[in-house]
Amino acid sequence: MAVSVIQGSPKHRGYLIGSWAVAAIVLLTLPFVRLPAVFGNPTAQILNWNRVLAYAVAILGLNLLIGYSGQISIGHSAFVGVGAYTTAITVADHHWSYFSALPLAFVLSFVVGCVVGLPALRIKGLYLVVVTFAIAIAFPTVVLRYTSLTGGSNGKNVASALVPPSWTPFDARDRIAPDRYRYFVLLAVAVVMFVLARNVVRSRIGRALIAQRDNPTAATISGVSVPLNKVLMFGISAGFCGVAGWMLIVNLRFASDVGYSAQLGIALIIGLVMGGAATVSGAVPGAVLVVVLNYMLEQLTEHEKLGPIGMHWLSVRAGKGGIVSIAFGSLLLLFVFVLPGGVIEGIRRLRARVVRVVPRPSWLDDVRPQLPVAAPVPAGAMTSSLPTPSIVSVHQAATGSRSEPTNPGGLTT
Amino acid sequence: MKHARKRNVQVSTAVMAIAAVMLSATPLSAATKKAPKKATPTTVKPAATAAPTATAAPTSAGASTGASAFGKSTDALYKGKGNFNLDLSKCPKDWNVNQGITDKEIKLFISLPKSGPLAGFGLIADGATSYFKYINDQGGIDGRKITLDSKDDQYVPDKTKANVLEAIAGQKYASLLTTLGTPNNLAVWDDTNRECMPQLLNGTGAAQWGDVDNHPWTTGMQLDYTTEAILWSAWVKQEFPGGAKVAMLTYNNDFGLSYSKGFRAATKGTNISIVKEEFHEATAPNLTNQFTNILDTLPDVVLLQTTAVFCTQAMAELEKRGYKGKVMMSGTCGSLSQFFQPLIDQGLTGKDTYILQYLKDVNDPVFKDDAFVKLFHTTAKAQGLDDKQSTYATGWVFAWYMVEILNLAKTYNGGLNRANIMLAARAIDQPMPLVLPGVTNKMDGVNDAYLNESARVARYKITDPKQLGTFFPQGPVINKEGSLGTFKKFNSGG
Repeated sequence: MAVSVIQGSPKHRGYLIGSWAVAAIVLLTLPFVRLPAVFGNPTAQILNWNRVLAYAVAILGLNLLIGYSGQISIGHSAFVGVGAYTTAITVADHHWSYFSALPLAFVLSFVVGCVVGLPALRIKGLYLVVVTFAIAIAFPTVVLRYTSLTGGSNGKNVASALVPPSWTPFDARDRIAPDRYRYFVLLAVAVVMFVLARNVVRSRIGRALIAQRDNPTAATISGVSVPLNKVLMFGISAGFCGVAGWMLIVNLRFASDVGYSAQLGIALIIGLVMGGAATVSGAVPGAVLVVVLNYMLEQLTEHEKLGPIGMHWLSVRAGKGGIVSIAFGSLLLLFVFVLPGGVIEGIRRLRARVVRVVPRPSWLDDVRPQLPVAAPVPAGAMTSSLPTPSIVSVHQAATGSRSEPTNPGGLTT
Repeated sequence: MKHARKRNVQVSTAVMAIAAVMLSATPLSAATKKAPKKATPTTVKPAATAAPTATAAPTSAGASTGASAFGKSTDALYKGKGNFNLDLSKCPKDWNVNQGITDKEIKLFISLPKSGPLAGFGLIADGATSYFKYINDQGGIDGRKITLDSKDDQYVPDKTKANVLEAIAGQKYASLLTTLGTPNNLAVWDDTNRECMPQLLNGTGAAQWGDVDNHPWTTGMQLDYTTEAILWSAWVKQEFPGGAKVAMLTYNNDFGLSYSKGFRAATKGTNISIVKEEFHEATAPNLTNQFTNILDTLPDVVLLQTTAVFCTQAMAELEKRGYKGKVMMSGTCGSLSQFFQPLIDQGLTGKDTYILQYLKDVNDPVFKDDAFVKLFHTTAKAQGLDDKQSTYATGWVFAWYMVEILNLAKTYNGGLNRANIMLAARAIDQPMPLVLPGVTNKMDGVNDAYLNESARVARYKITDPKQLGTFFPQGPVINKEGSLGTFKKFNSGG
């Protein structure tokens, strides 16, 4: 039987701190843990964790758009590419430091995102998918067009790596320490981006976005500037992807047109669905699945002895197509049917069996049954941590149902 | 899709040059008749030209002969043929000269596409493994079995880089073999050279692989596009001693431009004039405008410096407009089924188009008695492979050179180790049994960093317009061995 914990109680706080501590320990020890061979050798593992971090930030950015703003984009690979090429060009050709390239990667992607967001105002749904797909297709062509800047089809190699400074405990000449150092740099950047995303979602603009996603007319009536919010969100989301591009270059020091093709855009969507749409934390399991699961499947197809029970049937034989992609596609289908909310929903379901977080009983509970109609909702009340009665919850209270509090986002602001 | 087409260019960059040009009809060379079915690794080579270095000094496993002029000089200095020296003090501190080489095994690594649009080239790894298996069954390299680990990169250079960084960090491979694709090799060559990891026999025809000065640990194998264009110029000079007007159709990328550069350099100051050069992008829907402009200049020769679907489009344009001059096309256009079959479907033929070739086609009936071709067919079949699949033979070509390098390296001072493998890779002087007679394969340290610099002109002939024809040789092999020198020399316009 699940233990009930009241939201905001010391017990709940303890539980939260506990889970954050576990997450922190996992993240901090990850580059030192030696996983089985199916995860590759230690260097491959860290390179993959670094990619997980970058993908997580990109998926997070995409999630801000799809999950919160309700606009679908498969062209976000282009924004990752803008960030990546900005970094590669400034660092390789203009000898910037990686850290000074980071804000530029964000800003440029943000601007490009805002520009792309403009036509997205007038179109939605399937049409927007097509437009963004065009962007995904166009980006590699642009890269090939400006060969002198981007290196064209030969790709852009960045000779200088982000090396640990001498004050850090990482030895720059060691074989694996610089990769570990880069992991921690990327981890720090990712954490900052996650905090930012969380704040965006919980801020006025986040709530306005949810409102406009669920009911644009009602949101407009309530004074939300839908166009401004939409464009801004496209920009922010693109900016996140730009940072992800920076992270990918820090990790691999190489950019190519094919690396930022529509395939990446689709991979990000897959990660988003698998992780859980409209969640901030879903980006992490989504990225892990896209990067690590893919890698593991590849490992199993290359070395059949790694598998538990003769994985030779998985083997990728040339000319017969990638079984990895097939396996991955099937997995995506499975997710859509079994866990439409993604891994995060699965985790929440599991957690609900152990710990149930219930909202703190409101003083209104005592008077609710007597309320005949809804009380006026004070402006901005929904941003406070105290659950305040909305029309829905009051109605539920009136009819005697005591379900989980519903998301009243569409009715606020 | 633009994208797929772009990749196709790189295919050419990779291996089509070999796979596609394997169409020939010369009589069997005397040199390749000798190899018996149950041969030792060294006698598999044409006996008439067997490398003295490889056969003269039989060595015991791991032992140094001490007799060779090349190899270990001091712990940090290895001296090779053609003044090619390796200063190992520049290698990483934990660099191990014997990494991946034991008394029992030599471990190699290959990264190439096994899935994605270019998955077909993954068979090269299987072909190479097949030849190594054959060599291992003969006793390997002095008892050492050659093993080849492969990894799929989907032809995405970012993935290639991750694969190679992983392989380098794992510290268990002696050398990389035939990384496929120009961008893919460029993505890793700074890393391989910093890490002193031999990156041998790259599966691409870019001129960069002759950069012995800045990238001593990287070598190519194929006839590079620039040399191909230089050979074209020799052919034009021969066909038109009184001078000729040449027009070019150029794929506007590194691949197309390397032809352009090579041909222009080779014909500078001669009576061959380039009257027109038309470019097309990867996204070009057709080549109609380009050919209108090209044919306006009434050229004697049209050069098709392009690949993939554009080969077919270009041939179709020329044939439909009734062009009567000579047409020479990139060696990457040589696949009959890929590029000539679509012409037949349009009621065209592509006849009398010229191409360069330097390898024998294992499926050409003319070579059915060739000892090495026979060996390939019987061995591949015995191993359960489809021996009609010529990409396996391409794998054999790369693997044969690798075995040749290993056999050469073991004769050097210090025995078989990674530094000597690198020296040997720049000292090969031995034609591969599948190259056409008259083609030489020679590397000479810092003087000649290109392995294949010769080919012969062939002409596509048909008997029935509804059927695919064959390439028939036109004259002997044009041998430009050593003319390109190095990438540095090439870049300085030499």
